[in-house]
Amino acid sequence: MSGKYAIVLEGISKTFERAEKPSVYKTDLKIEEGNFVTILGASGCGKTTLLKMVNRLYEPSSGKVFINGEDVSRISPTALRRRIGYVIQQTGLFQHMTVEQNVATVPEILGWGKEKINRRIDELLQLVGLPPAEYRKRYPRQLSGGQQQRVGLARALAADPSIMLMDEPFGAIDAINRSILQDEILRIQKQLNKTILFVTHDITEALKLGDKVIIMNEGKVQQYDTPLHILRHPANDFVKSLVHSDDLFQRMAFVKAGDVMNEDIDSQKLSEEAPESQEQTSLRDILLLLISSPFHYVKIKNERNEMVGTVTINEIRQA
Amino acid sequence: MIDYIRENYLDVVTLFLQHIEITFFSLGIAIVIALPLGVLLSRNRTAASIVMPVLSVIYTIPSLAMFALLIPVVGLGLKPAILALVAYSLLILVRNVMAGFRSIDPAILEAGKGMGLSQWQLFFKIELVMALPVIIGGVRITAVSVIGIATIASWINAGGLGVILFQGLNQSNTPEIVWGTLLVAGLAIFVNYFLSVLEAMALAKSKGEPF
Ligand SMILES: Nc1ncnc2c1ncn2[C@@H]1O[C@H](COP(=O)(O)OP(=O)(O)OP(=O)(O)O)[C@@H](O)[C@H]1O
Ligand SMILES: [Mg+2]
Repeated sequence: MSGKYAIVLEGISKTFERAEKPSVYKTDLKIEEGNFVTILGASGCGKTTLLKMVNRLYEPSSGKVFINGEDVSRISPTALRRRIGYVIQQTGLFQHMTVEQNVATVPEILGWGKEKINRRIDELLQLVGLPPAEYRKRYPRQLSGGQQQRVGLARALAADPSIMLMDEPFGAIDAINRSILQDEILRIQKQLNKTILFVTHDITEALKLGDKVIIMNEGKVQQYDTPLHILRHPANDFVKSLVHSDDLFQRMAFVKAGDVMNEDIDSQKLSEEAPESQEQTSLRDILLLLISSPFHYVKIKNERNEMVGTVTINEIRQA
Repeated sequence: MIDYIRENYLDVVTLFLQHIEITFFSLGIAIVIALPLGVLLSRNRTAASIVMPVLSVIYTIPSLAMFALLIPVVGLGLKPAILALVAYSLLILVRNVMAGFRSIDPAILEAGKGMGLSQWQLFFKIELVMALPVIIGGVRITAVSVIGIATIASWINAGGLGVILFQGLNQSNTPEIVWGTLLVAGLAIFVNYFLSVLEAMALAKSKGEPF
């Protein structure tokens, strides 16, 4: 097993007792360390089943799962799960425990000292945007849905797992807050360099968050690739119709400026007044900027605010 | 009325304590049986579908008949009384224990399991706290009915407040009837109130409502 893969699935399949056909057919997948991988597919296609085989909530009917090169069947399920963060749609927060008690659950089981746990709680609440002084002592029912999901995220991160499994974590959250949470999970993932396996049935979410996307249908992986590749070269008709790759407007919504920009630029020649945007901005938004400005290009900056490229109508055409 | 108590207070206090004793032991033994049984049955529907009808049948046996049936087996006195009361208590207790554990939001259990809590940690840290209000509710209802049925246990020489009540009935002694009734009812009302306070506290705790 090569060490650079965080999760490796080898011939994994799952057929539930008394089921007529497998929920997940034989699947091979390799997920690189530090990658944000989304699993996209319609309801009942086996996303959750696939995810739960990684932390042994389900035992596969065949095949093997490795995390960081280790065969998970050789690790006790509880020990394994304490090393993997797990977030679900309904949050599953312990209603009778305060926010700090919820977050402290796994560190306490692992026997961390009081001081260390305390510092960790503050650090994590800070990270997920809940000021500790205000939120530590609250009970879950005293939080909004979005705030509860933030606590769920902090709790899953508590013991600093290198791998996070997330099952439609933002599925029950309104569109505005979902978009905010998506940006935050991206920021957190970049900052902490976690490997994340993230289930969703929202195409926009899958393509926005994923470094790579696993597209599933009826228990089978249809395509596993970068969002851009999936949009440009859908593996089959199912993927094609799912991502509407024939529809230019649709595609522009998913392709990011950073994916297509012209990096061969001379900063001197670019005008101060030309519109600017970020690498993650969708081409649709870039197009809007282009249309509403007298310039024929949009300047693209990276996270450190350095100029890294330009997008003109030509790049958009090639998307 | 007051004269009756003044003249018989030693007997009355003894019988009152006896009544509490019968109730306490019956309830205690029943809880010790019902808790593990209910947990087991809440996880095994097949076993539940066999055990619950049996408990239901026991529950429908009239108490006098039950006491009479037990006399040839365990004789007279405290033993058959407690045995019968335990048997009656099981249905409601087990049913509430099961209901308590089944009412837990499955997402909470999944999250707990997925985070790496062991079965015991999950049980004591999470499940028991969540199920407790419903369990205490069952104990409350059972306690009230045990206090009532224990009155009849005086028929088989188990003592308790039933002694005063039935003596009064036999001899048409109104103060005895009134005092017997008042004391049984008072005990039941007090126990019901006490346990309903505990129940409310457990409920607040399980929901994360500071009280
Ligand atoms: N514990 C189980 N026992 C039996 N069948 C199951 C079980 N869990 C899932 N299935 C079946 O396996 C299939 C895949 O289910 P799964 O939960 O993985 O779907 P999903 O892609 O996560 O769907 P959703 O988006 O609705 O959550 C479904 O047909 C489902 O009925
Ligand atoms: Mg699912």
